[in-house]
Amino acid sequence: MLKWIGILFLAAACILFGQSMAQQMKERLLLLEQMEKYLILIKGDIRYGQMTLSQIISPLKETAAEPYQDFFQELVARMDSFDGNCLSRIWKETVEETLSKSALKKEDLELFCQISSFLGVKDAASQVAALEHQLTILNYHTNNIRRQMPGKVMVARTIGITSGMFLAVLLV
Amino acid sequence: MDKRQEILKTLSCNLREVLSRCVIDFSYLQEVRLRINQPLMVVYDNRGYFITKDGELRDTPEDAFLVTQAELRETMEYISNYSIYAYEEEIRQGYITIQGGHRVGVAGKAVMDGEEIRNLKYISFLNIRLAHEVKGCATKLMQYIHSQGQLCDTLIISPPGAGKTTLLRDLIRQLSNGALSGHSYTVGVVDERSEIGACYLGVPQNDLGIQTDILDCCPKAKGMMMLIRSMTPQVLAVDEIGSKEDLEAIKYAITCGCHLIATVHGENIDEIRNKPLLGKFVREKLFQRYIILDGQEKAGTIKSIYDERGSLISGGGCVC
Repeated sequence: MLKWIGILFLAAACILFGQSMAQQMKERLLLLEQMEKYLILIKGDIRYGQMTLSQIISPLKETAAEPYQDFFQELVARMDSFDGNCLSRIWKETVEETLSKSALKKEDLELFCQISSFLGVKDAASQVAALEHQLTILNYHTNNIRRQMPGKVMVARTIGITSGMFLAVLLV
Repeated sequence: MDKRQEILKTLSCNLREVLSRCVIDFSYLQEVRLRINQPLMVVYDNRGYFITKDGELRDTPEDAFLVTQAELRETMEYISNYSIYAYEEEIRQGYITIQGGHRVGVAGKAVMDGEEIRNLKYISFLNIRLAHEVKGCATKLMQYIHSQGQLCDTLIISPPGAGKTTLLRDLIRQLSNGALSGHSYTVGVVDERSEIGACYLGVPQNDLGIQTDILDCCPKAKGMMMLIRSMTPQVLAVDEIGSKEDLEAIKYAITCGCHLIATVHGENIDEIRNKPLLGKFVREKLFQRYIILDGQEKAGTIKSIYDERGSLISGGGCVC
């Protein structure tokens, strides 16, 4: 009896693991889409409002979804502290602190960090052009993931189920 | 935030440390000058001093703290809140206004677009000029700019550095708050160079009174028209008039029934009479009061006050 309960738990664990992998992929796509949205907002405020980064990001630290809310809160706090670090470094360190444990992968975070190399140091027109370029790259990257996702989700779920069944059969 | 914190906050970490070691009263500090690879300098109580790394004020540049490119760059990042692009227009004018109303003059290499300055690059020289409001400096003047209970259209004539903007600022404040006989006015200010209100992120850093509306960084002629149409001011205040468009807008404002307080560069009323455009205004008696400031004496000293006929009302000599 206990053996059967154990097998059941093991099989369930494998299935759930497969599900969680699938969920993480969906989560990653959602976070990339949100990243795109926030960059578009930043671009718009630079182009039309000529606002400082602090002014642009301050509303986002209240309204953005997690984990971006934490990112923007920490970013504004560090920018306002004038602690001797350049924006590029502040941005990268804040990404490491707040987004590294999210569903975003290393290449996604690198794309996000590339923005800090030109944000704040160029004139408005160059800034907007550079952001548009970065958004194009991000959009291409997100579309690739979106295209591959259904297949990968199915693979993850299938592997979860089949490995659960395989272990069950093995233990029986 | 007090003046000391407002200034120290904008400096690089090293400069912040050096200046915070200085035993000085920031209310007497007038300028902080940063020049690439040159000694750190301040103008304190009307005198220039070099600053050592221990924060001592010296008359000679030996042992003075040298300002590096990295420190200038870091200072510019803080001054612009990591957003140089947001201050393009101000940099084109040659200055940035920071919190507290202090003005940071910038100099570097001009990037031209035909005859216009498009931008400044390689910013290597900064002059942080501390703002010092002098509340009450226009009190003695208030009785002279009213006649038979009516406010007179007033022109303040002054050489550079004689205190005309400081005087104008306090005049605006007192008119807005109702200093004389409790009668207050709705005042509209066109602050083309952000010197009168010194707005920072839209908030005036100087006290211009409770009934004052400010159009910041707007050309005077357009600004006056906009204010007349939208804010219905009883008094319009502008600084440094002179161009044909400014004077046309002033004439329009006066015919609309607005009272006008303006300033102009000059040494005396005869100089203004001899100017082709302004001279016409004097002959047509568009202004009822002319206040001449003395450039030789202490800033804010009134040399004389004239009425619209050019008759002397007061010999002046008073320091506001």
